[in-house]
Amino acid sequence: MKATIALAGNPNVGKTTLFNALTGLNQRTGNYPGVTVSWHAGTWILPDSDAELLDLPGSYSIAAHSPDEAVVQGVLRGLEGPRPDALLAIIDASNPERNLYFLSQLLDLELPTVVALNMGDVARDKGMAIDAATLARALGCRVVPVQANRREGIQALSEAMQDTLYEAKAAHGPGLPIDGPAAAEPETIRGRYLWARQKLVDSISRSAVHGLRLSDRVDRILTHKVWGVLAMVLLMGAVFQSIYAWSQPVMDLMDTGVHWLGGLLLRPIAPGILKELLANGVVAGMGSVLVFVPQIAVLFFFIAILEDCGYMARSAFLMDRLFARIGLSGRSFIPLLSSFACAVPGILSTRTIADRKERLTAMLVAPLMSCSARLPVYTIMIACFVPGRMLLGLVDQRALLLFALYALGLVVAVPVAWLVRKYMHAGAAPLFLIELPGYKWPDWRTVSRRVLEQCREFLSTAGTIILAVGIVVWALGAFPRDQARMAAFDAQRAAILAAPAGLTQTAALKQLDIDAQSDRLNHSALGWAGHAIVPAFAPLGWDWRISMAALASFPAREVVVGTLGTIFHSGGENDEGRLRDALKDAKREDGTPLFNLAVALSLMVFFALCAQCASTLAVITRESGHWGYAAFTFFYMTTLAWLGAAAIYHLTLWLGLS
Amino acid sequence: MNLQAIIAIIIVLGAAFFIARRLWRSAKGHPDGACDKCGPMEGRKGK
Repeated sequence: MKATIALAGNPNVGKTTLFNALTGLNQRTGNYPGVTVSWHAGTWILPDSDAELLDLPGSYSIAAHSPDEAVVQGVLRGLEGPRPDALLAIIDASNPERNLYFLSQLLDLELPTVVALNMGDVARDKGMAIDAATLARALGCRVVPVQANRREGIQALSEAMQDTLYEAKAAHGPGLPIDGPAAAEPETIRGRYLWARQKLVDSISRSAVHGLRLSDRVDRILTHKVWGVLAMVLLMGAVFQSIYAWSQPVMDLMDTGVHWLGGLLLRPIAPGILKELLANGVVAGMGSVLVFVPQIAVLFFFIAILEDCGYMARSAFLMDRLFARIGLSGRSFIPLLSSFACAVPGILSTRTIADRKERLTAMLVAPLMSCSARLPVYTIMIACFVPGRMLLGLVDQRALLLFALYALGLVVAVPVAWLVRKYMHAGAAPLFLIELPGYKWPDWRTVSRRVLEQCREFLSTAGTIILAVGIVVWALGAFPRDQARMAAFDAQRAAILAAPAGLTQTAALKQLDIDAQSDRLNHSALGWAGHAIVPAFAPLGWDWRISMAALASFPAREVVVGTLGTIFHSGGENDEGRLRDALKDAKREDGTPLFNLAVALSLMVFFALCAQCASTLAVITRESGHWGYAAFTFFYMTTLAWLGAAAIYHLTLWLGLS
Repeated sequence: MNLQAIIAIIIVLGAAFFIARRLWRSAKGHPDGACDKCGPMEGRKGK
């Protein structure tokens, strides 16, 4: 039978990096506390056997305060199944005393234990060195120096664990209480720290380090209450400028490639209903989305760098001042930051929040952050309807608008959270303590893995649903077919063909095709449903086609661009060109352009604020333990989205900006 | 009914089934905390 080994340690000491190195898995890592909020399991191949390795969330103590710490307690104490057969305790060599406090509790569990001494490079920068052999003698268990991010010491660690499993000899800590009120007594805590100092006294050596370290000097600016906020705004502005500038040429290239490929695939197929489906349902829908992969890649490139370099913890520290005024703490900011990639992991990471009321509030506002699925709708609308102009010669106004849309979620979250804290979950702002990790150069392997994984997920999971929705929307837009109306168009076509051939005839035939396709779409099931719902969206400046695309996006917002592609290519106004051209060419029934700046802004604001994600609502239900929280999120966000979109539409018209 | 129409009907029905299945899984909440876009988040077993 495979032995089960639990990997435990303080937050942000490299547990998941070590777990990935030992198992070959690719679990997400980051240089800030709270990335892992539940357990992961993988197979660790030891010299003579295989073992199951459990990667646990980081914890400062076995006594649980927050839901993620309860997972650690549950696994280590055997509350949710059998106790592990052995422990792999990882400690940060640059902060040994605090790490040994938790280790003292782990050793008191009396399980066979191996200690991995990680981050020796950071300790050396601080002028510290720990002798592993001396520490091993003091602790009475094997201590192996490792450098998890460089995969160093892995073989020695495997051998040490194999030997420890053979011996099956339990390690021993100071023998103090590890749970119940006695564990929190000052004498117990003092006793553990005294034990830690005694164990370290012979094994640690310190050399004098003069002046402030680089990390501390940078922090004087980046955590300053004025310069820090300014630096954060400038940093985010630069990120969005880069997203815009870097991805545009690649997007144009992909756009051309996708249409060339689409043409190539469709050429051998005879005209008919299948070709129509493939052209308007598959190529138009899927092709409209594929071109956004470069932007997703650039967005996640920056997210991965910010996560890995250590800046996330600083931004949480900076936001603590603002959040304290609305009854939250900086701890809530980390789930919100995670939600800029996707709200699901963001909501899961609220498990690091011990205060249940604060946790529920963070959960309710997390979906307001603009996730990566909103990026395509922002990009296409900005590219089509916002003119590119440099402001102060520094920032493209389109990049600035993109930044403003991302900031909108955070700005709206502040009053929403304040109201929730005041009327639903009243309570004082909890005290916020966070350990600021040292800055480090991002590990390019981690960054590239994150970017590749997100692109792969976007294509495989978002792409498949976009493809399926595109096909169904095409079918709804193509049927039922009114034979009498089709016959009338055929008669007109015959009349045009009977006239002498020439340029006028070609133009007349093209216009007739557009009219026929537009008429078919208008009288299809999609058109019927769209006309029925359009009064609800008319105050937002939308016609029935935009309304249907938005409605189809309620289960998953990423389908909107594909749906727009299918609808506007099926409409006949532009059945071969790019989606951008199709949107620019789209007309209302009175012949005026459908899209303008006001409509584009209203669509973007609606998507920025609306709860269009079934997965998010499901995870809110599960994490809060009641479906009412998901229902509340859906209704308040949809209402805000509608009001915000209507307001921006009428304001833009009133200002004469369209 | 010609072959193109039959293939088109099969594709459309397949797509509708796929959407229904995905919606059902999303609404139910994935057992491993997975997101439709980001994949599993927790408790994934593997080698």
